[in-house]
Amino acid sequence: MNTILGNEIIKTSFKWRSYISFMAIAVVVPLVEIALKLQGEGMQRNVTRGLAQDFFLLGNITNGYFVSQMIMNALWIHVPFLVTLGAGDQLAGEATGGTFRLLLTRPASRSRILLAKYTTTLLYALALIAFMALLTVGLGVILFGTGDLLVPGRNLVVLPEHEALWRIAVAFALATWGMWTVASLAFLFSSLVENGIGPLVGTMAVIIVFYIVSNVPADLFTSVKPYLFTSYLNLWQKMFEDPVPWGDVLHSVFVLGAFSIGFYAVTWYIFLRKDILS
Amino acid sequence: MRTISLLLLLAALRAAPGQQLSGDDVLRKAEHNFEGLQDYTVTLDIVADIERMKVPPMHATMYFKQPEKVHFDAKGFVFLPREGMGVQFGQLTRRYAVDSMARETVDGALRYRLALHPRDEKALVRRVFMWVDGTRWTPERVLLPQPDGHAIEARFEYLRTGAFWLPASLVVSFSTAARDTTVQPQDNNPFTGVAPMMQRGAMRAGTVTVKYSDYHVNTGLPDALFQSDAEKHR
Repeated sequence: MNTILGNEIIKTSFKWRSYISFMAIAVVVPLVEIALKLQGEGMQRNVTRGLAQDFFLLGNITNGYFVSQMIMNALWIHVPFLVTLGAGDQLAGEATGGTFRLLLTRPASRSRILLAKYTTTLLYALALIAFMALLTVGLGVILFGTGDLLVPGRNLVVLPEHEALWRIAVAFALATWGMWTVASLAFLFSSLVENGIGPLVGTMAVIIVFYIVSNVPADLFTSVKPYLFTSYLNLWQKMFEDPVPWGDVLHSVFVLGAFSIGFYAVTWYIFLRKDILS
Repeated sequence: MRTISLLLLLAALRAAPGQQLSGDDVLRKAEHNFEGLQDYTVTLDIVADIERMKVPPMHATMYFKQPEKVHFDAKGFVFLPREGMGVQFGQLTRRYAVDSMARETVDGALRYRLALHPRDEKALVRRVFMWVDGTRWTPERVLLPQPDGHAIEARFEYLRTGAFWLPASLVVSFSTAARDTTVQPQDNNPFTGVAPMMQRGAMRAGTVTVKYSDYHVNTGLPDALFQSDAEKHR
């Protein structure tokens, strides 16, 4: 199993398209942070516009933690897209390259090969989020320094500096868990088609449709919402509430885990019975 | 004879010391209370209890120098109510004009209730009520009715520090409060972003309590302390 997994990791590492997502993050994150830095006090004024009318505001409000938390909002659409780029290519890429039959002639069972590819997909998503976390927080702290974390929203929350870093770290870990569900769905679609574009478009279409369905205030859609995995993808945001609603977090972790297992189980069922022609 | 006695009694009542004070006199006395105070440094411990805001206890150091130089130092995020912290008691007559005055007794103590208006025509708040203690001449309570009909109220307690009565605590109550600082909804889902954003400008009610401690009075604070970074680099 380790050999198969190693081979899959090496294969993924040597595909240049695996690095598109990393490059996108490597460009976008510094670009955003440098732009915010150049904006200077303007950003702080925008953030505190309402409060500043009635209060003297002190401290480094727009610090590296605040900027990181702001950039994490890319986890709604942009990062799923980047995760899907890698995940959708795992099975469909073999079909496109005409290497599936060659791969399956190896003595390892289809289940093992599938598990190795799925594990590689999860590691890819993990590496991508870890890269995003390190770049976002690292560069943010270098450019903006540290301080208490101000979380604007329906409820304005201020988290002390000593809590900010571990909350961001856990938020990224939870985001990875959510992205694993997205990757699992892309992996499932990848088993159905023979090119990498299909899983990418399919997964993003599902995510966008589910977001819309789960947020239209209609009774029909409201009753459907708990059954959509996208309703739980915001679990990382709960780390910025005070106190952290651990019950909700665990519930989301459980539901997303169940969806990931479910998607993998369906993929496994399809893959075992699939007539491989390429 | 009875008429003369009545006239004498009326004359005596008019001559009562407290009654002779005008609103401007009271304001001036409150202002003079801080004469001789050149500067001070004080530690502030702030607790905010405002709806839909969750903020840990905050700490700051305040530096004050006459006539109205104020500088704050804080390590973490701190917000201090402008109403209350912003009132410079040494500048009362320059800042406000008295419209009317009334005498009140609160817990047996004489207080003057002044109705004021800012001399600055551009000031948003057009009416200020101030209650001044009739013994030590300290502003005890300031009420600022807001243009939208709500009010902000500041209540002071004092501590004798050397020759001065200086604030020991300040409680600012918002029946309406800071406008929502929302720049992004907490649920930043791009498909739900609209509804929370519409809540910008929503009012919040609550209190901010500021405790003053560790006063250092007339230590000769340098002017450079009150310069902004931009001014220092000029």
